[in-house]
Amino acid sequence: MIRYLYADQLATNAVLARSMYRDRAQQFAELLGWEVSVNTAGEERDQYDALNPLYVIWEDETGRHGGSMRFLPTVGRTMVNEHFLHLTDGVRIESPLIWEYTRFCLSPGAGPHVAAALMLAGGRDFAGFRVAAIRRRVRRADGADLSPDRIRA
Amino acid sequence: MPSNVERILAALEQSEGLEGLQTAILALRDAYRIDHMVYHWVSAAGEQYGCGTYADDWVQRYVSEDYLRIDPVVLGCFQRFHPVDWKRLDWSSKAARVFLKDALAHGLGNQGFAIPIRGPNGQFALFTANHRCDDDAWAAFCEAHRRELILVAHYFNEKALELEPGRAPQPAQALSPRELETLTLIAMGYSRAQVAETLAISEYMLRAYIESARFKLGALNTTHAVVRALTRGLIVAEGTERGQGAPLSGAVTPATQAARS
Repeated sequence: MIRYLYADQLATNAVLARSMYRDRAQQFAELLGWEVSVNTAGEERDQYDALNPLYVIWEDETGRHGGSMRFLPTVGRTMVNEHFLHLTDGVRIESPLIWEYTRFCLSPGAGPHVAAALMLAGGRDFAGFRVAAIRRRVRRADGADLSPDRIRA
Repeated sequence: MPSNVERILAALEQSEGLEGLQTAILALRDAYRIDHMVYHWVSAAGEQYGCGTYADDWVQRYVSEDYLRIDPVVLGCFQRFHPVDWKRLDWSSKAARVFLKDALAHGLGNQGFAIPIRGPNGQFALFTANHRCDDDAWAAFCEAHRRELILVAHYFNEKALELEPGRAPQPAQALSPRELETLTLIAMGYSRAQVAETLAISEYMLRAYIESARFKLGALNTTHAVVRALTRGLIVAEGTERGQGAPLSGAVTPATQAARS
């Protein structure tokens, strides 16, 4: 089931939230080897999680995280404007009509339908929106290519 | 888009003080032919400030009844950033239903579209379009005007931020070279596909550049953005450049233009 939850709503969905942060740690720190910070509970979070982003999360039958992505409005702080300006030739992407999505993550056992559902849920306009994505190749632990572009195709 | 919205926003940009916001919101309400339009700033401490077309007695009642604490629109939008139709908010509590009934009795319409705005340092504001009509008519209105209204809401907020006491004026957001190139090529008659190809970027990225430039220019659509960039002298467009196949780097900015003349 797809859930749309802001960070301040995650507090009442503790199991879902914890499993999301742990899956993120596994995907970004262990699998992809990114320099992200993982706390002692094995959860990956960064400064943007503190900005009350909107998460689109696939919740599995057991109430745990199956996959997720994180949205922030580009009129506020975003990763694309603070870390990836070289990807946009220096253009600060800034518009109330564009949101950024980052931290596209799938839990190790997630089937292709999870990624597809997430892309539909996130790509489908929430209210007539376009979404600016830092697109990266997404690979699951077993090496399956789950890049958003591939899934959508 | 109603034809005079650009003019109203230009006047808003030039205006000073709260009266400018009020004048603009009245004119916009009329231009969009709806019952009400409201800009409502709520500080973290619960202080309120704004402008709009609701009747004075409703505004006073809202404050005296402390409706801020039960208003489902405020509760449902605070610290959020996705616009919502009022129908999608939670009106199930008794207090919310009493509030709605009271609002309707004071001349508010039954339909609403609320646009939350998250500004710097936790600033929060709401921009609302309100009207009395059936669901289908309202859905059609929102579909037709949603994107403009979101931009308008943010332009109101930018103006309101300027009026905040003690706030240093922010320098106008400069366009990056890539944004200037994009607008210049559009001004020269290139199609989006041609612009993307010329700049060796995807059309997807091009759209982000255009929307970004449009917001920085306070424009409502691409044509409006190009006109604003031209009238401000940010870009210089020469139709002949395209035919000559001049290299892009020599064609696009006032600086390079000046250097060659």
